[in-house]
Amino acid sequence: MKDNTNNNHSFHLGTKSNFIILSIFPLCLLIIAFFIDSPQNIINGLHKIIVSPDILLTDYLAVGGIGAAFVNTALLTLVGIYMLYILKLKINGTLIAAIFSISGFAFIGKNILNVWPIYLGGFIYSKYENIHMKSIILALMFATALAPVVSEVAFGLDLDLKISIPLGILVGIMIGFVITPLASHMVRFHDGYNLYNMGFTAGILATLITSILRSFGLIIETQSVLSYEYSNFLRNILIIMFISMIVLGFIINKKSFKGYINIFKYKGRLVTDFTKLVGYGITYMNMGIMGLICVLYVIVSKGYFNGPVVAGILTVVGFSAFGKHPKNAIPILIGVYVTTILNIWDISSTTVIMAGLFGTTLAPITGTYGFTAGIIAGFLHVAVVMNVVKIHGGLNLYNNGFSGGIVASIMVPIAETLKNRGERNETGN
Amino acid sequence: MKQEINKVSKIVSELINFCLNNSAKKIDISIEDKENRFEILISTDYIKCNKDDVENVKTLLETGRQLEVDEYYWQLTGEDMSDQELSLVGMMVDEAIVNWENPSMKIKLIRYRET
Repeated sequence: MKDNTNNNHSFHLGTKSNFIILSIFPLCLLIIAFFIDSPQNIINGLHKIIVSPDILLTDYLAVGGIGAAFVNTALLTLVGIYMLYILKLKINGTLIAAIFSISGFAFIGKNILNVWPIYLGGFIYSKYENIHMKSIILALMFATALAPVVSEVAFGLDLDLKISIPLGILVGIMIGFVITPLASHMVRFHDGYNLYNMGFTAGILATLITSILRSFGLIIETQSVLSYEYSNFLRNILIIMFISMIVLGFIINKKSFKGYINIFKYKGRLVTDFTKLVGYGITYMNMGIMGLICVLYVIVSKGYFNGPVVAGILTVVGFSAFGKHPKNAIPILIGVYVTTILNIWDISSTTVIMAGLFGTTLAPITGTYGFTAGIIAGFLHVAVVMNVVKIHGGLNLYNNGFSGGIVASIMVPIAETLKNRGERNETGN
Repeated sequence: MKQEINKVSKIVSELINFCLNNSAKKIDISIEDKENRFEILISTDYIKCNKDDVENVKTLLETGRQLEVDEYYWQLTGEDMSDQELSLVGMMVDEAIVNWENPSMKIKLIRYRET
């Protein structure tokens, strides 16, 4: 048996402390927004963000400006944290991943308006199934990946607003209603080797929705609205944030890095909750270290820090509380990097950098089958992710999770067969 | 109710995996459907583990029920020959008691129905 024992070197961190820690980042964004932009600009920017189609890739920094994008992210994140607080949930790895995913994707498609129909649909589902809202809030937070469907139907299809807005809300409610059982079922498809399970689920559902809309002659096409002017500023904010996380983790871990190396023994397959397995101190440390690795990856790739790239980095950081660590994630990054040198894709483009960052959704494959498998996973992920977006027309924000589900479901049975064969050869059976 | 039964079945399946994976030769299982809870008792006369392993199992199983994880990831339980799934089992039960008298082990799990 493996040693999965919890880390005993950390200070006990209460629920309230974790809520406060997680609220620091959005509160800082809120303050920074009003320092660097005027209230009028922020309000105008938020209006633009709300009424713009949000399909991939829509960078809210380009649509509404940096102040509005920061306020949008801060408000969505704070609301998410508040919901967890009033539901009296204890912060764990998966909830940290959900909160950081919301923060990240609030730069590229989730806004203060389009997420609510999905939450409402989930609330109706909880009443219908007679289960507590706290049971499904996690799935709903991730399910806001499909928030662009609400915006696209409401504002992007050139329909009469009197029809399109209620229709958008209705579609959002329907998504919220069905997403929990769907996501729970879909996890079996990749057997937990794709960390962004909701990305796979949302990809399947978005494919269905896009197909229906296209069958009525409605056009759903991806777009590319990107910002480049805030790159250095965003990079600096991220570096400060991740160093702060490492320092915080260091302090919680009784001013020591002791035990950090233990995190490398976990494969990362769902469900690997580092807050339970190694404690909060090492978890926050790991999140900060993974954040810095991501920043370095973007710099080495000569890419820009913009909304989509920040979304990728924050998501990786969130899932570094829930399965990712340098040992299982770096081979994927190397796989993607080497692949893009060899194939037709531009290594410094935002979509390719996103493929690298989000490709770490396949970290459990490295953790289970080794370094080479991680490189292959990175290679396959780039090939698949650059194509699947056409299927759902960019309505699923977690496009890389969709791709990751496909790659994992193909790779895992093959890798398992080869592994079993290798073990049989070793034992001579 | 059907989903609740499926979840209990998955938990039991995971415990069987755990025992067989650690060289158990005979396993006895008891499941009681009580008014507000399911009680699962699994016992084996022989299991290959040491004191640290048992502490590890206790830590994983005593994580405490986490409804959000339970609802989202329960279908992964019993699907992999890995100790990590015991962590998921721990998040799906309200109480866990592990008794180890080398080499036998008894694990009692209590899962309350959601009200």
